[in-house]
Amino acid sequence: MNRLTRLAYTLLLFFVVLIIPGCSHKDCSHAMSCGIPPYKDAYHFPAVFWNDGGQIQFNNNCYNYANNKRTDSFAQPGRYAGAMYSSLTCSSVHQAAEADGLKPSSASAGCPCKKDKIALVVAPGIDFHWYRLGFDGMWSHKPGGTQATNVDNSGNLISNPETANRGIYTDFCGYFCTCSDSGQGQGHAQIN
Amino acid sequence: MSSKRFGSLVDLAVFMVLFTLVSRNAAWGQAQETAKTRGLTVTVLVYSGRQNPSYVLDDSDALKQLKALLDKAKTNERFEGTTVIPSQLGYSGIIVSNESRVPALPFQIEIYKKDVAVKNEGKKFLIDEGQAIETLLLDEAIKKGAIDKKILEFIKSGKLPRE
Repeated sequence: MNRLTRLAYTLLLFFVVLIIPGCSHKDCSHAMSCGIPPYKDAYHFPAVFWNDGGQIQFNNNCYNYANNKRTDSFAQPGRYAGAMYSSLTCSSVHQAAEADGLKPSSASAGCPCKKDKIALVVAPGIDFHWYRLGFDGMWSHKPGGTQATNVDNSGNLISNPETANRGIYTDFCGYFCTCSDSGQGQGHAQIN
Repeated sequence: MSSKRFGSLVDLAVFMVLFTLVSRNAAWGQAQETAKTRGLTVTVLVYSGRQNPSYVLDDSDALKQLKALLDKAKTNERFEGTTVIPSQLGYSGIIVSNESRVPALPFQIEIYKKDVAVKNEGKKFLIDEGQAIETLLLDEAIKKGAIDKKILEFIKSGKLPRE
């Protein structure tokens, strides 16, 4: 086998092992481990990954944090799928999130392994916001370019996003399951 | 065969040299563009999901005024925490980024009401009792069309004005 043939085989192997599985992100089948990471990381600092006071914090919003996926693009529901929301209403943002591959769920239903529960709320005509459920049963969120936090606008821990103080985000739109990962920022949802 | 291989190596080397030259020219062009448009990028943190409104503050009078207000602000020795930007839904302050290195101004400024943080190599917390820095930057945001009066009212009162 000459050098050129060996190189071609190596490239083919690289393509098969690394590139092709990457195409199946939508079904989460390649995810290495289950579960969204906790709000507090292994070092007990609150969400240090997201709260760097720079590139990550200012360029990743609530949709990034809820899906646990760093894109540095202030991700917008439906943009990846080419079906972005057309108005700031529950139905429009809900539809856009579904286009990104997020699966609608309910308050009581669990999500399958390698998927985690997130919740959508809307300030009608103004903006949208997302929360994510940690494996400790509590919710956390990242209001835009600010730091991720586990408290609501009243400073209370969030046990239920439907009853949390959400300021002007008065419309509760529902729950979804997303393709997360146990590593911070490493989620597999198709968003940008 | 060996001369063919030598030929492809030369092709590869030529390609790499050309690629490096093109990349360097592109980077130089970008630096020139930045230098031409010197100004501060001001971002008003008001949305959670949507991109926040932002504008470039390049008016020399406004820049002078901002510098004067920063010089006038007192150091806040009592401030506890790493940022003045609160993590909450609704208005959370203003971030001023000096990426193009406007002289005599810090690399980054965070403002929320009377609390101000300036960042160069380290971070220093200041207090602007009259909230003049915040007012200046919000007024400029209105002038530049980055925010409208409805959002300004929401920022000031925390409530959305009735239609």
